[in-house]
Amino acid sequence: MKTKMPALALLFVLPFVLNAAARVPAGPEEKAAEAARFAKLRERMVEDQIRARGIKDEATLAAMRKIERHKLVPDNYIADAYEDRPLPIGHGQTISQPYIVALMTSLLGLGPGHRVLEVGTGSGYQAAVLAEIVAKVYTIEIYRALHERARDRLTEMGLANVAFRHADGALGWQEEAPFDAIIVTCAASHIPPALLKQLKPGGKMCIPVGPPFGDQRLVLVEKDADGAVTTRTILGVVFVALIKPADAGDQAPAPEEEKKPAEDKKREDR
Amino acid sequence: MSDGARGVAFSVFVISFATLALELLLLRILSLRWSHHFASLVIGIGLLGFGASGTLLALFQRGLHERPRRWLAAFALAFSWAAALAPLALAYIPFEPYRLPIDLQLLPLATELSLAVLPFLAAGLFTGLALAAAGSAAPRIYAASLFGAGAGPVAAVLLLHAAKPEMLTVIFAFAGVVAALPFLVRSGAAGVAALLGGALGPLAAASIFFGAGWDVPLSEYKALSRVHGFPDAKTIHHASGPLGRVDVVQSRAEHYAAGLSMNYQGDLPEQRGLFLDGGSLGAITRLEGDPAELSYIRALLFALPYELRRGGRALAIGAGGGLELLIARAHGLSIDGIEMNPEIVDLMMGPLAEFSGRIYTRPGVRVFRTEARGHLARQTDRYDLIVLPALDAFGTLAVTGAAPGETPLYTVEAVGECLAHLEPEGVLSLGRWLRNVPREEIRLIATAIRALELLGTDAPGDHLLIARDWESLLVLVKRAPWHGKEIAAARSFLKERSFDFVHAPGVSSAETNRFHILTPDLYREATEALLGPDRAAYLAAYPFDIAPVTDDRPFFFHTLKRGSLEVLRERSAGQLVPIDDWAERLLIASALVAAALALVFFAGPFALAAASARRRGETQAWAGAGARPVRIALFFAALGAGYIAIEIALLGRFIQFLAQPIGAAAGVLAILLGGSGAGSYLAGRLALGRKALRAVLAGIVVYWVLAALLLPRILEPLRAWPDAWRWVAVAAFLLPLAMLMGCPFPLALARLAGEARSVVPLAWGANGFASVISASLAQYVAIERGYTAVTLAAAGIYLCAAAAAAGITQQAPAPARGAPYVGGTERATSP
Repeated sequence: MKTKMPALALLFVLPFVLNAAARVPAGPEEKAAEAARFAKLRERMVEDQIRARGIKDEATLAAMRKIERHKLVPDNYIADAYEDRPLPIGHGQTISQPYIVALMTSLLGLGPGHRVLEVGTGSGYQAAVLAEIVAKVYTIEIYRALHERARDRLTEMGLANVAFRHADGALGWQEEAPFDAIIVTCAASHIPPALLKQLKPGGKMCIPVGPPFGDQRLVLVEKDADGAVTTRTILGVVFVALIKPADAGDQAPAPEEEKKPAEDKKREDR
Repeated sequence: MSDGARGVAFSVFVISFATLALELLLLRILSLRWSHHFASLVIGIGLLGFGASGTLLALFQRGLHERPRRWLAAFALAFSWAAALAPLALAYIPFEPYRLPIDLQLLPLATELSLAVLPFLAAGLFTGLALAAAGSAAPRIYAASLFGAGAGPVAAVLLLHAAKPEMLTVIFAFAGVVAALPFLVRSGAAGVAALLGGALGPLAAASIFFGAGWDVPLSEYKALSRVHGFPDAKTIHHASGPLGRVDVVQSRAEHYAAGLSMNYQGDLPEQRGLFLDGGSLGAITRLEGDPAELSYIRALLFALPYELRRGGRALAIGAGGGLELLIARAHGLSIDGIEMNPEIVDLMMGPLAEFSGRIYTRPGVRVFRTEARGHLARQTDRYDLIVLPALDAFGTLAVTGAAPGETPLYTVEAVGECLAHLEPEGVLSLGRWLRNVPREEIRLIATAIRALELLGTDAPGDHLLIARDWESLLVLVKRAPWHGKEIAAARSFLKERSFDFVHAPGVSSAETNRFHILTPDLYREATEALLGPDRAAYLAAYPFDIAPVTDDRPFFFHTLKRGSLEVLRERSAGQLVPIDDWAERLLIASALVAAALALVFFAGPFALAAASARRRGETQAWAGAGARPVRIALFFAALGAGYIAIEIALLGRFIQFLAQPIGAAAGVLAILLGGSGAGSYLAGRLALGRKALRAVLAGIVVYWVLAALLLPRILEPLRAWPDAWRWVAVAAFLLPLAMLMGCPFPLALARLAGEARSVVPLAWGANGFASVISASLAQYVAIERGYTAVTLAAAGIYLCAAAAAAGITQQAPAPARGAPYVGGTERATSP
């Protein structure tokens, strides 16, 4: 019996040792190799999932190439970060399929001087992609855990032109209104009147409608110069046909943006 | 019947009673946690435990029959533990069906399914052994089983009014201890210890459920879970009943205004979220003064019919949180509301009365606590407006998987019935949500057109006014053609609020698709095609089944046909096909899994064991040699499959007829199973002759074929009868059939009495597996072909049973005599 004790003790301790070993930070070489591997996956994602489906907007493609999606998914889904599908992030929310993120971004016709409101920060991925293209992103999340996680991760990633708020998104962000574009990434039974008010004349709002793990139709709300509002619903691949190469040409590639220092971000993070 | 057999009959009754109650309660728990589709799948597979029990009884028959009473006690106590464990596992093991498209979650799924099998396996072992060891008392044991099975669901439904399903599972789990009493009561301290040991399972389950506040954690993708994540959200009212769990949630972030105009500039009033089984039912709006002061309700698309029928008399099907009542009163209409869920009525008239401005009891409002079809059938009132809103809240179908099964409100007959209750200038308003790939909403238009045609309308297009926004479709059906003035009023209403016409007399395509642009405008195209000469070709070519549904096939939300899923996959541009879109295929998956498991756990072991027994020359041990065991298995499989198919067809017909979904299902089951129990008992008492079996089977086939042909016509004129008389009519129709259906199993056992110990496991297993496979297939046939097809299929299966019956008797049967439940080393009176 005595001889078995060390073996049993080892068996008991082994999982903890292995777990601790797994947590040891990787060395610089390993980190570089991992970054290169993820960069390759991103490149493949952009080419196979996005460009191949007809999205040619270079600003969007460049942002998607740059933003490290694997840093924004839950740890247990890192290996799947660049798969062609949405992933769960908790609270019944998902990080959208990369193609949907690209589609919504390109649909809004964004440029470097624009200010965008996002309702439903979720993982923060959409905000990060937008932040690569526009001047400022204001993002609101009602679930505190998601809000804090996205804020911390995007700050770590050095995205200083994103302002975060933990609040009910249906009320919008009155102090910073009006916005050139709004993305509503959470389910709603109606388009909140406050958001319509906070959209600039000539602005666009994009709302994905559909189940968390399923095909979503996108509703594009357009407010003309007189303030009249119309919607355009895009059904499945029918929408792909609408994204013509000419559309991409209309949107010049975004130049390198001037980023605000991190202190500004903290001040705006209310 | 000896004392021993009487005690066993009592225990069999108790176990069957608790098992059927448990089945219903587990369905309730899983419907609450996930969705009805997955609940049916998991419980359907759990029921395979009955089939597997036959295999185990056969494999261990020698050991079991040496001490049958001891084993019966053990199985009863095992039932207690399993019935306590299964609800816990199904409630708390982390498994998320909505993530299945991206994550199979095999381990939790397999664990849930395995644990769901256990109570049914224990119950199957208990009843199967009781039957096998019963000798000449088998018909009475079988009768006790049927009586228990009939009473269990009724008790569960009644008790659901008073307690949560989780609590009731614990109570029913104690049934195993009660069932073990007759076998252990004279066993002294060991018996008491065994009983206490059996009771520990339910007690442990009770303590765990108690610790969790008697609450089942809902899927995080259900609307209620998401709302609970809001910072200030709290459940302020909570009620549970047979129709589901109702929650009312307070949160500043809770807003519900589906169909709201984008031109509306005001704020939304304070609202409370209303949820049924965790899915959204919309909201309850705070009302402090006159409903007309709530400006937002006049900005809703669904206010159009009220605007067109100002000052009239309306009927709203589904009073729910009171939105339709508010819109009606804001437009000066008096309104009758129908609300089937008593919990919602109690909430609206009790704790929420003040908040909702007493909308259920305001002057000009009457609310009936009843089901709509039955209500319409019983009354002769005429209305200026009947409103059938989208009863599921916007997004419910897509997000929570709450797609209902049978939907008697959206059939051609239901729409016709509504039209028949309108004044000559009356309007029927039908609402639905737009889907990513249009399906039900187009079926709704097709249904309205068909109903108008059946009323003798020459030009249905003149009676239709259809409008939409980006999320909602409104179909207004008028008995008389629409007048120019009404169209002008509608035009003004829609334009002011930026809503679009889809179709109306005199409205050209230039007036459609202006504010909410679809490319192409599928709704306009579909309406024109359905009103034109090429309707059949359009319906055939459409990638989904959008043809109108009838009372014979009232599955409005089931729209898949061959190729539909491929279309969804193509159109979704590489995204996943949401689980709700293919959930109806789960029935086929369930049947295939059951068939595969039947092969693995039933046919395989029996064939191998029989071959082995033959090699050893023990032909008696495995129900004889040659083709006979196959015939026996086929015969009892046909009995199981046929019985379930008839049960499903009857439930479909009578739930509509009795117009009380849950109560009708429990009541019809009670009459059917209780009647079968009586038939089984009488078959044993009367000692029917050898020819009786085939005569009974022929009787069932004839009765049932006549029923298929005549039942809908017989029931239709009786629908206006009062509740009690309709129940009498159902009982009068069902009892003779039920009694006949209870006879074949015990009659066949009687013919095989000399070899009961070897035959009963075979019969029991075949019957159990076939029942589960048939349950899924019969539902699938009902969805695809209708209840008449299920009825005819059931008659065909009984015909097969009659054919197989000829070859199951041995040349020289040796009937069992003497005291039952006496094993080689065991006395009947002292286990």
